[in-house]
Order: sequence, then C-alpha cells, then structure tokens
Amino acid sequence: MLDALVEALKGSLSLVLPDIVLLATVAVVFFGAPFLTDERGRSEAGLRHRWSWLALAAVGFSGWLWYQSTPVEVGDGPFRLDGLAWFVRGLSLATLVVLLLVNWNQVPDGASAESIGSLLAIGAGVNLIAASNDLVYLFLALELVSIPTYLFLFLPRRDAAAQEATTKYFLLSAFSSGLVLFGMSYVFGVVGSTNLQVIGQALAAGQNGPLPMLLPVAAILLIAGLGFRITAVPFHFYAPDVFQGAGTSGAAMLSFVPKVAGFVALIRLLIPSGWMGPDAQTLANLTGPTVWWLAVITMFVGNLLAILQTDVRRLLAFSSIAHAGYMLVGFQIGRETHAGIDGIDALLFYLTVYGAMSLGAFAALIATSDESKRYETIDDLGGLSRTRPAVALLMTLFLFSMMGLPPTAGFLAKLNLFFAAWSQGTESGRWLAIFLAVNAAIAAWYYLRIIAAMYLREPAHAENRHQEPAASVAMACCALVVLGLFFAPDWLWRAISVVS
Amino acid sequence: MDISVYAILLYAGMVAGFVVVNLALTHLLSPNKRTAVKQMPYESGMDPVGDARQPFDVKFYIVAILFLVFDVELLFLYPWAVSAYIDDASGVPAGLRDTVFGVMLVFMATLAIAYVYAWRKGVFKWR
Amino acid sequence: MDGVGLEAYLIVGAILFGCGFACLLVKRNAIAILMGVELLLNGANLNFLAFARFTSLGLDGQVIGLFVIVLAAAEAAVALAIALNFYNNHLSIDVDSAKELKD
Repeated sequence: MLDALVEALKGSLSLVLPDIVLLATVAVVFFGAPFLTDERGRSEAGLRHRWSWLALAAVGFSGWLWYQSTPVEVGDGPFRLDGLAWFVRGLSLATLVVLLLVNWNQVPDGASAESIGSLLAIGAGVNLIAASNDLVYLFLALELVSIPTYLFLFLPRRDAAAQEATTKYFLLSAFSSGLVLFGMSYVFGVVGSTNLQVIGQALAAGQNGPLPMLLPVAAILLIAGLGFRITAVPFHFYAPDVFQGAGTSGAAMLSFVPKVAGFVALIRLLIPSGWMGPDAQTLANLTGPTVWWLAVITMFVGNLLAILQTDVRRLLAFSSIAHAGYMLVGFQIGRETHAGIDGIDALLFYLTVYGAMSLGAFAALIATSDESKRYETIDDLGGLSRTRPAVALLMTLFLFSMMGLPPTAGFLAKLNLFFAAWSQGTESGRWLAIFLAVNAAIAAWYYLRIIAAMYLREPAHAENRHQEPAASVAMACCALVVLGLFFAPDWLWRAISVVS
Repeated sequence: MDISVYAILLYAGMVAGFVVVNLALTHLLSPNKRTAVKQMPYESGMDPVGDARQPFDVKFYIVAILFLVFDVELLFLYPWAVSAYIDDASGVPAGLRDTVFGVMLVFMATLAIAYVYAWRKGVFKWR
Repeated sequence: MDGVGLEAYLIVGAILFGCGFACLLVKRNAIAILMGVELLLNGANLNFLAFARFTSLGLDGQVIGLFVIVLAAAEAAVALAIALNFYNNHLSIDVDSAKELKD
C-alpha cells in the first residue's frame, strides 16, 4: 500500500510537466538577469526582446507537452489532470503568448527579465490552480499567481501612479488570500481532509462532521476572497484605480488572468468534479442565493458605473467587472441544468472569448500609443479611424464582441449564458437571464461611445505613425479568435466538452 | 557515566574554546585604530544617543527583507532533516528517499539562484 | 490538556481574524494594514493547527501551517519592498496620501 502511494507521488509529477518547464525557465531567467544588467539596472538595448523570445520558446515547449497530454483519472495524489486542468492549461498558455507579445516593448530593458519571469510564473500558477488536487497546493498556486503579479504591475512604470496601483492591489490581494485561507481552514476542519476529491465526495454524501455550521461560513469566505480576484461587486473597488495606474500590459494581464484563476478556483472548491446529482450537497448550494445576488449586483454596478467613465482604462475596468457578473451567472447556474447548456460550460466559453476580446482591446491601446503619449481618455481615441484605420477597425471588432453583437464570438458567448440561465427552468434562473439581457443593452451605450469617438470625431492628435509590431500580432491573434469562434464555435466546444 | 554525556561535554568545551580562540585572535591580529565612531557603544549602526524614534536607514530594510525570506525558507529543511532517514513509520518511506532528496536539492538550488540574484544586484554592498 | 478543547482554539482563531479584518478597515498605514493581513493568515493558521491537533489528521494541518508561515514571509518581503518604494516617492506610508488615482 505504501509502495502504491510512493508510485502515485512520483507519477503525479508527470501531470504538471508543462508547469515545471515554465518554472524552470523562470529560474533560468532570474539567474541570468543580474549578470546582464549593471549596478544601476541598465543593460544593452534589445535585451527584453531576447528574453521574450526565450519565454516564447519555453511556452511553446510547454504547449507541446500540453498537446501530448490527455486527461487522466483523478487519483489521491497532490495533482490531477482532469478535463478542467487540461482546458485551463491550454487557455493560460495561449494567454501567455498574447501577454508576452503585448508586453514586448512595455518594460525597460533592465527590468525585462524580472517582468517576463513574473509573467511565466503567473502562467504556471494558473495552470497549477487547475491542476491541484489538494487545498495546500491550491492555496500555494493562488499565491504563485498573486505574488508575481505585484512585480509585474510594478516593473513597467515606476511613477507614483503605478506604485499606488501596485500598493492598492497588493493590500487587497493579500487580504483576499487571508479570507481564502481562513475559509479553507474551516473546510479542512469540518471535512477532515485536504484532498479536494475527498472533500467533494464527503460533502456530497452529507458527511458534515461535528461542526456543520462552519461550512456556510467557509463557503462565504471562499466566495468573498475569490470575489476579489474576479472583481465581483462589492470586492471590485480596487480595479478601476489599478487599471488606470498600472502600465497597459499590467492592466491587460489583470483584466483576464486573475479572472481565470478566481473562477477556476471557485469551480474547484465549490462545485466538485463529477456529476453527483442535482440534490447533492456542495459548498455552492450551502450559500443559498449569495452568488445569485453577487451576479446581479456585479452586472448592474459594473455597467452603470462604466457609463460615467471618461478614462479608457477605467471604462475597461468597469466593463471587466460587468463581464465578471455575466460569468457569475454561469457559475450560479452551475451544473444544474436539466436541458440545454450547462452553466459551467457556458462560463468557460465566455471566459475564453472574454480573454480574447479584452486582451485584444488592450493590445489595440498599446498599438496606438508610443512612449511619449499614452491614450488615456476616450477623447484621445477620437478620430482614430483616420489616423490608424486598421487598429480602429479591430478595436471596433473587440468592442462589438464585448457588446455581444454578431458576427463576433461575444454574441455566442452571451447567448450561451442566456440559454443556460433560461433553460434551468426556475424562476430565479429566468430572472438572471432577463437581467443579463438588460445589462447587455445598457453596456452597448458606453461601448458605442468609444466607437463613435473613433469614427465620427476629428482626430485628436497629429498623425501617429508609431508601430508596435508585436502588439499588432497579438491584436490580430485575438481578432482571429473573436471572429473564428463565431463561425466555428464547435472548435472550442470540443475542448470544453472534455471538462464535463 | 553514559557515553552521550561525554559527547555533550566535548561539544560544550569546543564551543567555549571556539569563542575564546576567536576573541583572542581578533584582539591580537586586528589593526587597532581608535576613532570616535569606533569607540561608540555598538547600537546596530544607529546613533546611540538621542531620540529613538528616528527613521531607520533604507539599507536596513533591504537586509531585513533578505533575512526574512532566507530565514523562513529554512523552515522547510527541518522537517526533512528529522524525518528523512528514520526507519520507522514516522520517517520518509525508503522508496521515496531519493525523490525527496532530489526535491530538497531543487529547493536549495532555487534558494541559491535567489542568493546569486541578490548578490549580483548589489544588495550586500553597504552603500 | 483537559478543559481547553477545539472550540477554544477556533474562537481564538476567529478573534484573530476579526482583529485583522478590523485592522484593514480602520488603519490607514500600509504597514499596519499588512499587520492586519498577518493576523488574518495566523488566525487561519491557528485553525489548521487546532484541527490537526484535535482530529485524526495530524501532519496535514501542520504542514499547511508551515507553508502559510513561509508564504506570509514572502508576502511581507514584497510588501516591505513596495512600502520602501512608496516611502521614497511619497515620504509617507499613509495610504491616504496616495491620491493620484481618484475619479
């Protein structure tokens, strides 16, 4: 029996090979970094591009390993490679490629190694969140995402605004880790195991231990702590400030990666894998209507406050809050659908599409700005269709997708969530679907304002010939996903069908 | 008398000898310049007289950060050290020892990389 | 060990958690907020250790405790570095003096 355990432990390392590759690259990058900069943190020009190429190669190798892997049965070991882990790993590796391209020219050469190393560590952290089969590993993976995030936000720009943004994000992120850990401690104590599989099964069987009243508290704490990561209202207030203050690549990363981390951790902790029947007890349905209210409030607050914004990043921050609300609809529906689309599947579809359109929008912002001039307000984007027609067109495409208009994948993503909520067959599910539709209509207003500024106003700035090839490539990739998933959504559905 | 008591006595003697020899050697070998700063009572680099609520020099924080990380990382070594080569149920199973040893080597290598990073970045220079 | 049971530890853990929470809401000093975070983490840690002591799964809880201590140190190190930079820029670690980002 002991030998079997030993073999299981040794075998579990092979489940996280792609992440080991990423982390080994991080070690190499941090080892090499100080030898290539002088005492004042300066280095030769172009170093950031070489580090980026190395990182791209590592992500490519990791992606190859990922492509070779297939989901396996979940065991007792510390890691797992089930459908969700497989899917999230693919998603986060693709995100890493886009973010590396977006970050291409955003950091000074002297700090590039640290920035790129942090990015790789964040990617590995997201993978490990999905791949962890144990409370300890889940928590450590969450921290592996958040600690490098502070560095990544801080390095590109060291002015007061960036520092303030980092400080705010740090304090709230550390706070949310505390909440999550406290929730985990109750789950551990009540169920008496750190293994997520065992916890899920014990809860489904109704084995609530000697202190069952701690379970709802634990679930609320977990939702609150992870709510910070996904910017659910009322845990959203840092997002606009941080998006505005951090560099554009930092804001791009923050708009998507913490959401993946948060939602995957929520699914892992609150909705155990494997269909256990509609009446099985999970941490999610112990909290009653909490998530329902969270979803509704997040949608409305995000959209209504976004209307008031004039700063593009703040607007995108509130829009990302609203999108978190839409995704929470899918989470609330969960796996309880009787007919039609599964809520979690719809969430994962939306998450993927949201990643493409959000990263694309930020890549467009980077492609239009040069070092002397950042595009800050909607007025700055005025007349972009004259000065940079291609960028304006792609930006419009991303905004259409965020609105949920065809022919973009955003349309299908919203439709899936709507049907998932509607076909649940309950009063509350129908209301969620209705609120979703109402909010999509509200959101159209502020997205259209940006598009109107780009196409109807006179150019706000003199002709800007600044070229950012890497960001343009990233933008094109995102546009390809946003368009491609509209015409061939089956491609993504096949990947998602592995999950459930 | 039990043999282990001799070991403890020997150890205590070595410790005392080490201290005495080192003190004597530094006293005999070191250059001895009596400047005003050197004659001051040692107070971790702070001015010993005056308001205690003065802000610390930034240099202390950097060393403190480094100490904090390395000191706490060593926590992981203790559980491994006490359980790695014990043959009863409380120890690491024999089949797993090599793996665990490898993991510890990787851990130490990671720490070494962090150390080299800090060293090359000039953290240990007192500027 | 008679008299002091699991509940007592859990209550102390919850009180630590409450103190940390209050610290975050009330304090305006970045370092003080960080102390609040440490209280949160240690409250959780106490829970883990208490559960480890009073249930059958001894080592699991202790190992988590170890990891949390190391993690708290890592966070504190990053926090000190950020606070240091913040201080150099604002000459204060009062978060209210950060007023660059207001809508």
